[in-house]
Amino acid sequence: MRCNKCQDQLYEYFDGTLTPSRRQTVQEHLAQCPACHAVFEQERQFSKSMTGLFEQQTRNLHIAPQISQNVMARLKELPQENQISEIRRHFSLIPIFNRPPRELIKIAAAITILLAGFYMGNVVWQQREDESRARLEKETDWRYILVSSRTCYFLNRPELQLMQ
Amino acid sequence: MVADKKPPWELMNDPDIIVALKQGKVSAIDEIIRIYGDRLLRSACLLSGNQTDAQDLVQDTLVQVMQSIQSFRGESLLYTWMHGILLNLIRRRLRQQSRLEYNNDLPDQMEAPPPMETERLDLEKASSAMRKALQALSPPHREIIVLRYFEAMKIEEIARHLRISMGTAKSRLHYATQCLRNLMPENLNLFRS
Repeated sequence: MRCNKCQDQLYEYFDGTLTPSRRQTVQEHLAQCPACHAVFEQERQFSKSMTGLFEQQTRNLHIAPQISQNVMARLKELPQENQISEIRRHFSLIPIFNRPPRELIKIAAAITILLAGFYMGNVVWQQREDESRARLEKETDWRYILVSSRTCYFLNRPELQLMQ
Repeated sequence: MVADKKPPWELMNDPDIIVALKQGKVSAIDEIIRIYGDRLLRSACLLSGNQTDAQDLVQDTLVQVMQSIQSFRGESLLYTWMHGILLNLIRRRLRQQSRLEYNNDLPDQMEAPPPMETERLDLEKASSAMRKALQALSPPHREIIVLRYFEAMKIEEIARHLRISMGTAKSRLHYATQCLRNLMPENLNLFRS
């Protein structure tokens, strides 16, 4: 094992998240490489010192006793947001709404694309329908004589008499 | 090493608190404050460098926890989720301030004067120097140092928490450690083996 590979895995070695075989490889390298062993010892010492100093720095810090009342007062001051939360709670009963916002945006985008597809399809279909109707009207001679408001004769098809 | 020192609250399973929070029960807030309050405050204090700010930040965190508990899906521990909210609030506050002002009076705000024993005094000096050094770090470096050595998070947990890759987490931690070592006065440096 190379030194840089060993040092790259030191944090995982400390965490105990390496696989048993990798752990053993690192362990063996540390036993025979003084440079890596020094880095390991330095990190171990650093970790110990930092934990101790943080503990010492913060042990006298305690949460303010009135924080609970303050939080409740703040929540009461935000009726609109509470209402939103209430609405969210109701919506969360429907599985699709009980998802993170990023996923909801993806779902909304998919639905929008689908609807846009349907709309465009409909427009194209309508256009083709109009075109074929126009072609049919052009091909067919629809000249007629209006006899009365209820009857008309088609000049090229005298057998046809259209009555409303 | 870090794995062996997993704090007890990280091992806690808190489904009851989550259910109570989702039902909007007031007692759940008290329970959260009782279990996690001090820990959140200490973390906020190390990250923000100011005790008064830390109290406000924890309060804001708890308000936001109550507001967005419905979106908590239990994919992480409750404490980790709350800490994520705290971290976002601290970042937002830093952005709003749009300046990184390091408070030199911080040691006095955070703790009472140390007793006058020689050994104790050395430790206090080192602690004070470390506090200043921590505040002199850039926010990302400070975050990773606090997560690793105060929150005792594993490197993969840090990566997940900060939404960065494992490689980035490792290199960031390495550089943060180097910076902190360099910022410590030589005679008070407890990090030398």
